[in-house]
Amino acid sequence: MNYKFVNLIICSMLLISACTNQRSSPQINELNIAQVPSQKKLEFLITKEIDNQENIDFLQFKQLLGSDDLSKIDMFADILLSTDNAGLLPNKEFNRVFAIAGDHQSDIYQSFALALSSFIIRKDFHCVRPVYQQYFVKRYNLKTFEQTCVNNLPINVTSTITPQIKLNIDPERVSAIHVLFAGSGEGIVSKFGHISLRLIVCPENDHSEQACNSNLFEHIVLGFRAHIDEFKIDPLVGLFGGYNSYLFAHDFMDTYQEYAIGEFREIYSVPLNMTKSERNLLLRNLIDIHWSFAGDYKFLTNNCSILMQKALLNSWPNFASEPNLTELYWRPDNFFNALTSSKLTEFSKLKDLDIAEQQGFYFSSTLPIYQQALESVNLHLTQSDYHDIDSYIDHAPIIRIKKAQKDTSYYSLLQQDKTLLSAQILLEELSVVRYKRLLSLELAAFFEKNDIKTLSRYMHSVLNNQEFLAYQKCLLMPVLAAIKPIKLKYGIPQHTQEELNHNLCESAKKNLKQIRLQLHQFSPEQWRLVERAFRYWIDSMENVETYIKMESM
Amino acid sequence: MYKNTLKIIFTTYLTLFMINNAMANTEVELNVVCDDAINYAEIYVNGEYSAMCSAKIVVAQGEINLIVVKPVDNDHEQVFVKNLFLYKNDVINLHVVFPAPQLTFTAYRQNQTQNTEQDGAEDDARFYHPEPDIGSGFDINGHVAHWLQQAKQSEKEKLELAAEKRQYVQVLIAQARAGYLKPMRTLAELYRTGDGVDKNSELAAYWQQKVDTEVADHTLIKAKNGDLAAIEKMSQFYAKGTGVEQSDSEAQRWADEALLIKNSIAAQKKIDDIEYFQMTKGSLGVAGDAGTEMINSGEGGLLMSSISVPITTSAGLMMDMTSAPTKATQLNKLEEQISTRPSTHAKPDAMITKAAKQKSSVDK
Repeated sequence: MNYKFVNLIICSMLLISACTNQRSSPQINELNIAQVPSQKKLEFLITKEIDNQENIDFLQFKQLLGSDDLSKIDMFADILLSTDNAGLLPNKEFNRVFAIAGDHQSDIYQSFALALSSFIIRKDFHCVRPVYQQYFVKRYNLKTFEQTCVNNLPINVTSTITPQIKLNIDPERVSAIHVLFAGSGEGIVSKFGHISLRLIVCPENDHSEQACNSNLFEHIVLGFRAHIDEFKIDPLVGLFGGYNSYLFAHDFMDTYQEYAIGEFREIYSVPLNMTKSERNLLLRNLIDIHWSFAGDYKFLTNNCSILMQKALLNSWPNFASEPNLTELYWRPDNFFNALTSSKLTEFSKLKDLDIAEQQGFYFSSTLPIYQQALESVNLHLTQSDYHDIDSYIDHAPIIRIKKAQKDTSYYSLLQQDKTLLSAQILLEELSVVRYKRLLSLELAAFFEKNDIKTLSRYMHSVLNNQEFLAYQKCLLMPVLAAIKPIKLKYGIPQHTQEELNHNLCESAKKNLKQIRLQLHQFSPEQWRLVERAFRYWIDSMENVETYIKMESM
Repeated sequence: MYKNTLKIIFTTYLTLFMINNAMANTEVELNVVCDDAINYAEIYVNGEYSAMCSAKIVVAQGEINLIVVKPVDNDHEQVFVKNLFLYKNDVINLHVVFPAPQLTFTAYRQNQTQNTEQDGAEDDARFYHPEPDIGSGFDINGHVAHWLQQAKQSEKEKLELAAEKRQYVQVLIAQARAGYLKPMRTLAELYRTGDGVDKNSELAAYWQQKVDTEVADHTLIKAKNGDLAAIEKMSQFYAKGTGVEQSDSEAQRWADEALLIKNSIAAQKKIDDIEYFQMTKGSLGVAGDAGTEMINSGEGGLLMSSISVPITTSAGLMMDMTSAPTKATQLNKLEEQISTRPSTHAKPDAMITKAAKQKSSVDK
């Protein structure tokens, strides 16, 4: 075996595998290489491992270096998987990293082998798996040089209306990261609030603080969430695991609508004190976790609070060394209090909530606004049955508009009084939010009660080929994609993609009516609930349009 | 008088004979009686297989643990347990009354481990590496070769070997009873060939059936968890009746399931290829493509609830019901209004209001 040749290869590998964050002493504890200078340990281990493998073609192996061929990374991972050398096996520290960056589809040994293989072979590993990169550099005590990643950071944003879309965020446009805390809600999951992070994304051409802070429509919220419905949740599953958790990305305005409008909760947004390089490191690590992590969600032991703390521990050195944050807080409110009590946040921003609301650090519940709107509407209706907001929403939208139109004095007053009209529109828009949510819940229930496979089998039997294709494109594929967000085995995607306007459903829409009829046929009772929620959602939107037309008259 | 004397002598002789006989015999006869209706039950004494029930068995005096096991179905068995202290000369008639069926060890393990990946791995370990260290020091695989070597040795050694084989079979039975697959296979083979045990086609068939059932059960668990290879195997098992009751309809059902999964995988791959690598949007907050008439995969469900059910897919499905906006651009505009109106209506200085104005000016 030509050790010199192999060592040459390994040296090249190590130069290629560079990173921006060098850490302290190595944690390798295998005795057989204890005397090897730390910088050489990984070389030694790999060389030894390759020497043990008789079937490796070294010329081929050399070609692997810097390769983007993912199958070759898998091939080398298989070689590493067969090792029994402790230096090439996961250690306790990897357990900790794996807990927040692993996809948990493969076991820890497979994940380690794949990560190490990628680390050795891929020249852009520090860009695609920064969390693991930092781990390997620390474990093997590697000297590295500063190397930047040129690509923007892709984020798979979950939006209310559009399909999941991949946005490319320029890290230079992220001027700050806030800890975002939504106060307690009514559901058992939200009783102690919800904690996440908010990326303050600046407008493309204006990076001033004011412009960045008010650019709410481009801000992103990153938060760990269970893939569950908190109103139909199984407490036992929630306690002991069974729901999946992911680091979701949402538009901030969707998050605002969900909490401040949909659930009447308060939102606090406090800037984290960090340098630009710390922010960039945290950002890249979070995006790594966003594309890679899939874990078990448990209310008490692995919830949004615990997972966020684990993510920050791995990605923000100041957080890891903060004495008040050494314990893991399972309650989001307690974690938020501990974090904002430390020097890691600018809690002073919340001293005066009125000012904080003007500056974008606090977003109050909209409940008082809707209550006031209802009072105003009730005051002018000749006869009102709306005791409170819920009773307003409970009336069918079509009944509400007909009632308003029959009440001629009220309807004519609406045309004159812009404030009253605005109050009326507010209530109808709230109805849109509520019925959109109900529709989501009913659809969720439909697909939970009717196994997708069984449903598909039925649809296959009753639809012709074209119709079934439409069913697959318009319903099955979006549902499958939505049920399980895509997790990428090799980390943050680095490919340059062309912008394409795809509409899978476009060519198939003439078949949709038949599909709808068959869904009704398959499960009439449950589908009726979906249709009702949809009807009310649409009717609410039509009411809004009707009143908005009056506004512009 | 004579008669009385003769009677005393006879009684004394008989008593002496019985005492003498009893002193020479330290074994006890135990008559284990199972109900006639029972087709098959195994008797274990001190953890070792003894006989099929009903049977008269001879055991050493002293304390014994007697277990009689009657299989009910693949997952259940009835287990009668009795601890006895036997004195020499005892002749015990023991009528077995079985309690309610309970889960077999294997079924219990499967129940515990079903749907958990980690435990599933443990189950795999039991399934594929069935040589637990039970303190006997036996290496099951190594012993076959060992016996072959021993076959040429002396008579004394042969006797020792026979004893060793008996012990080995007891270990196998204990392991097989604990649900390990490989010992079951070995037992079936041993009873079939009569190697180390009395040839017994009934027991050979019994253990082979256990093997088939175990394999089928294990495969079923994997199949129910969506393992494609397992699903295809289940189809074959049902077609041939291996470990399950032969059923063409079940075989077809599993074949359909496999086909569906293959299609789903293909569909998922298509999603990977298209949705995430090709549907790149230029900027944040911009609605879906202008040409979109169908809004086919909104993610409001994820945002707000559990399954991110495509609300707008539903909108597409039901578009004939309404004249309301079904285009993504229109819906996005409406969503913007909904999110900002409370602030613009009541809090002109709030950041939300400022953002709405900023967005409005950019859009213009």
